Amino acid sequence: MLLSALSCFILFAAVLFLLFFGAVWSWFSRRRPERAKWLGALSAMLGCCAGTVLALPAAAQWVPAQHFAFLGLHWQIDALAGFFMLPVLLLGLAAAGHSLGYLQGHGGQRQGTYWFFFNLTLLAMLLVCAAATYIELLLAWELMGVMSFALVAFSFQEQETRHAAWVYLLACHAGAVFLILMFVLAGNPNPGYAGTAVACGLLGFGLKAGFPILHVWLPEAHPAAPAPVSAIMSAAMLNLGIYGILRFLPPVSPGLLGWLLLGLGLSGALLGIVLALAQVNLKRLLAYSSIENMGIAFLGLGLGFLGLSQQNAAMAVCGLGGGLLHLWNHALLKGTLFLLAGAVFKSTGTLIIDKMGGLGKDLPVSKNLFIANAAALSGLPPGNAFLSEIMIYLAAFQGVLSGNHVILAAAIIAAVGLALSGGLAAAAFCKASAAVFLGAARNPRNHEPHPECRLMLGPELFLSLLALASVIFAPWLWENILPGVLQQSPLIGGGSWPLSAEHGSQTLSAVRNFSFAIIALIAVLGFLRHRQLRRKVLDTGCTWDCGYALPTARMQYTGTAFTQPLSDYFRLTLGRHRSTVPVQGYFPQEAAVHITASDPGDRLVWHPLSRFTARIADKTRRIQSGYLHLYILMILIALIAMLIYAVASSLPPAAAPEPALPAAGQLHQNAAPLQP
Amino acid sequence: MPQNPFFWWAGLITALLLAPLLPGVINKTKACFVGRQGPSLLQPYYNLHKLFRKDCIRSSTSCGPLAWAPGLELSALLLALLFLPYANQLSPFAFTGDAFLFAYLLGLGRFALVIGAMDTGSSFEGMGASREVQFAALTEGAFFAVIGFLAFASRSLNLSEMLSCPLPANVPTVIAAVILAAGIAFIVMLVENSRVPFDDPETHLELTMIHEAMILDYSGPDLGFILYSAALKLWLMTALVVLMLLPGDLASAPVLFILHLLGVLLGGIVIGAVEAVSARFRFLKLPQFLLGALCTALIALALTVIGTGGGR
Repeated sequence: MLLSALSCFILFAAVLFLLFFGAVWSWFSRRRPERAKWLGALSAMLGCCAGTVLALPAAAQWVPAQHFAFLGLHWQIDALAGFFMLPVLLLGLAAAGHSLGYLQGHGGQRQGTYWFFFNLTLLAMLLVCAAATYIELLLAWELMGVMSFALVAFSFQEQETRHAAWVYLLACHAGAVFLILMFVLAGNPNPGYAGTAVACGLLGFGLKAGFPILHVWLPEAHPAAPAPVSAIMSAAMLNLGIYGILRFLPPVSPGLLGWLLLGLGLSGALLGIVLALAQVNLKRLLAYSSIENMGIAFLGLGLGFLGLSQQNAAMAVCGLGGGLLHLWNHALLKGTLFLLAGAVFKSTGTLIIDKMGGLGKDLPVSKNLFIANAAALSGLPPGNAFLSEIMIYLAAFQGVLSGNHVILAAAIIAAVGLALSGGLAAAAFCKASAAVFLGAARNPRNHEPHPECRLMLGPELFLSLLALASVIFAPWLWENILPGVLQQSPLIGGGSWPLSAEHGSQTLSAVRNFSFAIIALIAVLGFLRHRQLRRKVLDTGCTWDCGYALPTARMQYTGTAFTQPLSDYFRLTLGRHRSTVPVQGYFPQEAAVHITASDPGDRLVWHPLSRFTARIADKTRRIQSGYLHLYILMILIALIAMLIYAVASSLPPAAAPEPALPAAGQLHQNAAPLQP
Repeated sequence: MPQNPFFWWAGLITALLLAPLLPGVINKTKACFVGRQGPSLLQPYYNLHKLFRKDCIRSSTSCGPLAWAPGLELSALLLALLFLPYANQLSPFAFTGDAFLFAYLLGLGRFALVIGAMDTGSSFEGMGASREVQFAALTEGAFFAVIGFLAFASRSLNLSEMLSCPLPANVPTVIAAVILAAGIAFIVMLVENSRVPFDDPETHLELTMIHEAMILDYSGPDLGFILYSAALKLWLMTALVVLMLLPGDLASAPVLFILHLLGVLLGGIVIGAVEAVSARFRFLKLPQFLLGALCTALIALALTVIGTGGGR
C-alpha cells in the first residue's frame, strides 16, 4: 500500500518533471532547432510512457486510488482519472512522433516554441485529470487553455489562424469564467443557487466538450492548429469536458441531467454530422465529426442517467458504459484521422477537399488507413466505434422495452437519431476518403510524389493498431474497468445499487467475435478471388464513363457535389450560401458555382449576439468624452454611490448592539464554503 | 415452439442457393405483365456462371478499393445472413442486439460499394454513389424505427426472437401495426435493393440509375460477386418482411419452412408486379417519402404500445 503510494507519487513527479523540463529546455535551446526538436520530442514521449505506467494500473484498478500533495496542491489518481489520462498519453505519444515529421521544414526558432507549448499542453491536460479539488482544476484548466491557444496560433502569419486562435481563447476563458462561477455558487449553502451552479458547470464544461451552439470554436481552431495538435485537442481535450462533468458537477438529480444530456447529445450528433457533410476543408469536416461523436457520447450518458433515475440497471450500465467507451474509440480513430489529414496537408499543401483527389497512388498506406478509420468512425462493424454504438443502442432499446411512455418515446427517438447520424456519418466519410484519396488528381501536382514519411506513418499505424486492440479487449474493458471507473463519479457512485457489468458483456463479446469473423471472411474471399484471377488475363483500361474515351479529372464528382443533395436537403448550402455564374448562350464559355456552408450556431446565435453587444458598446461610447475632468467626476459619483449603498445596507447591523462582530462573522461565514 | 435447427440450416442453405432465383422471378413477372415471354427463370444463374469464367478488366484510375469492394460486400452479406430465423427457427448465432449488427453489416456492404465506385473517378459512378449514400442515410432511420417496433412487440432485442415471436392474436391494433410495419419494411427493402419506384435497374441511361451506375466499371468475377451479393441482399430483406408477417406459432417447422420459402418467392412476384405497374419516383421527392416511412413506422410502434396497454 505504502509502496504503491510512493511509486505513484514518484511516477507523477517524474511525468511532471520530464514534461516541464523538456518544455523549458527546448525553449531555451530554440536557437538550435535540431536540439530543441529532439529534446522536446523525447521528453514528451518519455513523459507519456511514464504517464502510461502511472495511469494504466489506476484505470484498471490494479492499485488503489492515490491521494497526495505535490507543490502544495492536492492531486488524486483514481480509476476515473486514469481512464481519461490514457487517451491523453497515448495520443500525446503518437502526436509527438508525428510532429517530428510534420514540423520538417519549419526552421528557425519555431521548433523550440512548438515543443515548449506542446509539452506544457500535455502537462496541463494530465493535471486536469489529476486535480483533486476546485483550485487545482481551475489552475490546470486555465493553463491548458492558454498553452493550447499558443499551439492553435502556431502559424500566426495567416489571418485565418489568428482569427481562429482568438475565438479559441475567448471560448477557453468563457468556459473558465463559468467554472469559477460554478464553484462559487456550489460552495454557497443557500440551496437556491444549486440549479444555477449546475447550469454554469454544464456551460463551462460544455464549452470544452463541444455542446451544440457552444461548439463554434471547434471548427475554427482545429483546421488552424498543426495536425498533431488538432489530434490531441479533438481526441483528448474534448473528453476532459465530459471528465469535468462526471467529477466536478455539483450534485443534480440523474433524471434532470439525463434529459439534458439526451437532448444535447441528440441535437449535437445530428447537427455535427449534417454540418460535417457540407464542409470542403478536410480538418473542418473532421472537427464537425468530433462534435457528432461527442454528441453520441452524451446521448449514451444521457440514456444512462435516465436509466439511473428509473432504477433500470441494464439501461444505466449500457448507456453510461457505452458513452465512456465511445470516448476512447473516438479518441483513437479521430486522432489517427487528424494525423492522416496532416500527412495529406504535407503532401498537397492544401486542406481543400475539392482540390485534391488521386492521392491514394502517392500515399497508399495512408489511403488504406484513412478509409479503414473512416469506416470505423462511421460505426461500421469490424471497427471499434461499433462496439460503443451498439451499447448505446442497447441502452435506448432497454428504455423502449421497459420504460414508461415518456422514456419509451425519448428512447426510440434517440435510437432513430443515432441511426440517422450513423448513415450521415457514412456519407460524410465516404466523401472525405473518396474526394481526397480516390479518383484522379484534380490539380496537377508540381512536384514528384515522394514516399510517405515514416515519422508520420508510424504514429498513425500505432493508433490504428490500438483501435484494433480495443476491439479485442472491449469485453474485458467492459467487465473489469468500466464499472470501477463509473463508481468514481459522484454523480453515479452515490446510487443505491452497484453497477454490474453483466449487462451487455455477452453482446460485446459476440460482436467482437463476429468482427473477427468478418475480417477472416474478407481474407478468405480475397484469397479465392485472387486464385480465380491468377489464371486469367487481367487488363487495365481507361474508366468506362459510358463510352466517353477521354474523361478528364475535372469531370469527376467533387466532394461538394457528392454531398450536395444531402446538404441542399438540409438547407445548408441554398439561398445566399450559393452564387452561380449561369450557363449562357448556345455555346457557353464559362459557368461556375460558389458554395459556402454556414454554421447555424454562428449565424443564429453568436453573430446576432455580437452585433447586439457592439450596438450597446457603440451607445455607451458617448460617455468617453476624452476630458479628464469628466472622468474624475464619474469616479467621484461612483464612489459616492457606493458609499451610500454601503451605509444603507449596513444599517440593520449598525442598529444592533455590537456592529463590528457580526460583520466579521458574516465575512467568515461567506468565506468558509469557498475553501476547498 | 419446438426448435429444430435442421430447418434453420436448411433455410440458410436455401437462401445461399436460391438467392439468384429471386431476380429471375422478378424479371419473369415483369415480362408476363407486359405480355412478353421474358428470360428464363434461371437466367441469373447463367449470368453468374458466365461472369465467373470471364477475364477481368480494371480501370487504370483505380488505386485499390475497386478490387476489394466486391469481396467486402459479399462477406458483409454472408455474415448478415446468419441472423435471420429461417422457418421461424431461432438462429444459433443469435445474441442480444444482433439486430443492430445486421443493420450495420448492410451498411458496411454499402460503404464498400460506394468507395469502390468512387475509386474509378467516373462522373456517373460518383452520381450513383452520391445518391446511394443519401437515400441509405435516410432509410436507416425508418429501418431502426421498424426494429424498435419489432423489439417492443416481441419484448426482445434479438432478431430471431423479434421475427419469430407469436402474434397476440386477439389485439386488432397490434395486427394492424404489424401489417403497417411490414409495409414499411417492404419499402425499406425496395430502397435498399434499388428497385422501382426508388431506382430503376433497367433503364438504358446510366444517368437515372443508382445501384447499377455504381457498378459500371466491374467486370468478370468481380461483377459476379456483386450480382450475387445483390441477389443475397434481395433475398435477405424479402425474407425479413415475410418473417415479420409469419407468426411463429402458426404451424410446425416443416410447414413454416415451406411457407417461408413460398413467401419469399411470392415477395419476388409482388416486387415484379410493383415494377411492372409503377414508374420511378422523382429523386427529389424521395427524402420526403423516406421520412414519411419513418413516421409511419413510429405510428406502428405507438399503435402497439396502446394496443398492449403500455410498457409498464
